[in-house]
Amino acid sequence: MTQDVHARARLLMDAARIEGISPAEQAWLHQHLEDCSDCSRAEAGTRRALEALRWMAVNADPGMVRATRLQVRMRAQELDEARSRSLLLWASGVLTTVVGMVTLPLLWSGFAWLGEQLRLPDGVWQITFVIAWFLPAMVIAVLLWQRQRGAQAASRSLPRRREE
Amino acid sequence: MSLAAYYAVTWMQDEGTEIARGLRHRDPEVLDRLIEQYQHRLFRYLVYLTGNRSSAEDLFQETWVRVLERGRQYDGKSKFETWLFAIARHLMIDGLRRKSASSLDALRDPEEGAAPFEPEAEGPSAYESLAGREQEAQVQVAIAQVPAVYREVLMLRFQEDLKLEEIADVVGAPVSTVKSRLYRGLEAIRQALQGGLA
Repeated sequence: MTQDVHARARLLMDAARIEGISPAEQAWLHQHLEDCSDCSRAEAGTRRALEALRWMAVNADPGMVRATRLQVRMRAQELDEARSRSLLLWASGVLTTVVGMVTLPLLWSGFAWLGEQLRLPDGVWQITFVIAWFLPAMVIAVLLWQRQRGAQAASRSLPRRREE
Repeated sequence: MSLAAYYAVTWMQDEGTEIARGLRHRDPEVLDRLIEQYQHRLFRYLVYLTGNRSSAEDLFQETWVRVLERGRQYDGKSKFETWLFAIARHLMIDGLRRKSASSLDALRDPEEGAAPFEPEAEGPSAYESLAGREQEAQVQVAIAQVPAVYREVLMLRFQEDLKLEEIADVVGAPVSTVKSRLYRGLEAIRQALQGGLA
């Protein structure tokens, strides 16, 4: 018997477990295992190892599982609170924008009147108007950005609690 | 498809959809149930993956927090455990990257050597016999010697009974790579067992 025959047998033994083999290959392998004690021993060893693997238990510690549940619940609460705050912030932003749009003509007239009273050049009061107009949006953007950074940092530094 | 198989597939899809809905709403009851249901399987996967109980415990907690945070990404079409194991695996790889390790085996403490995963015996009484314990110990040592990438697929295939396609989803590799790792893993176990018996 050549080495090739044994190599084929080992390959078929593994293939039968991984992806299946044809009936003809099964018959050949069966015959080979009856004739070859080395391959038969190897097959029995692998079979026993995989059976033992199936039966070996690695169980999660109940304390760790309880701590995980607690941690997950706390994080869920944090996320809910963050979502509520975020919604509130967005609602404020939308309201500010709507109010801003509605009051735009009035504000423009107000700035024009003030510029005239103070005898400011048109460019100055118009730039001031633009800044005043965008200020709320810029403040909200900065707040949202800070919130997002805070949430990311909190997620990264989430403590690993272990229930004693 | 037989009627039983049809009902099994339908039930799995229904369960997946229900889990997906719960995760989308961050339902604490659903999360509690999932932790209860998958605690041992996830922990076992992590222990086999890292070869280290302590790392597995840290990853276990991180995985469930990530499930909560990324729950919306689970569509309910695939098995939940496949998605769960994939998340756990990504977290472990992220951890390795942070530690600048170059391989999956880097997580193993060299001082632990071939010491296996402190598993507790379970199952038939045969394993309570001396012969059974000896054999189990041999197998544990043999498995500990198998590189983590092979150990992982062996565990998913022969302990979790996942299909090749599902394993490919978990490890993020083509089915051909999974097969190749399984062949090498079986060969590695065989060699380790022969070495142990020699």
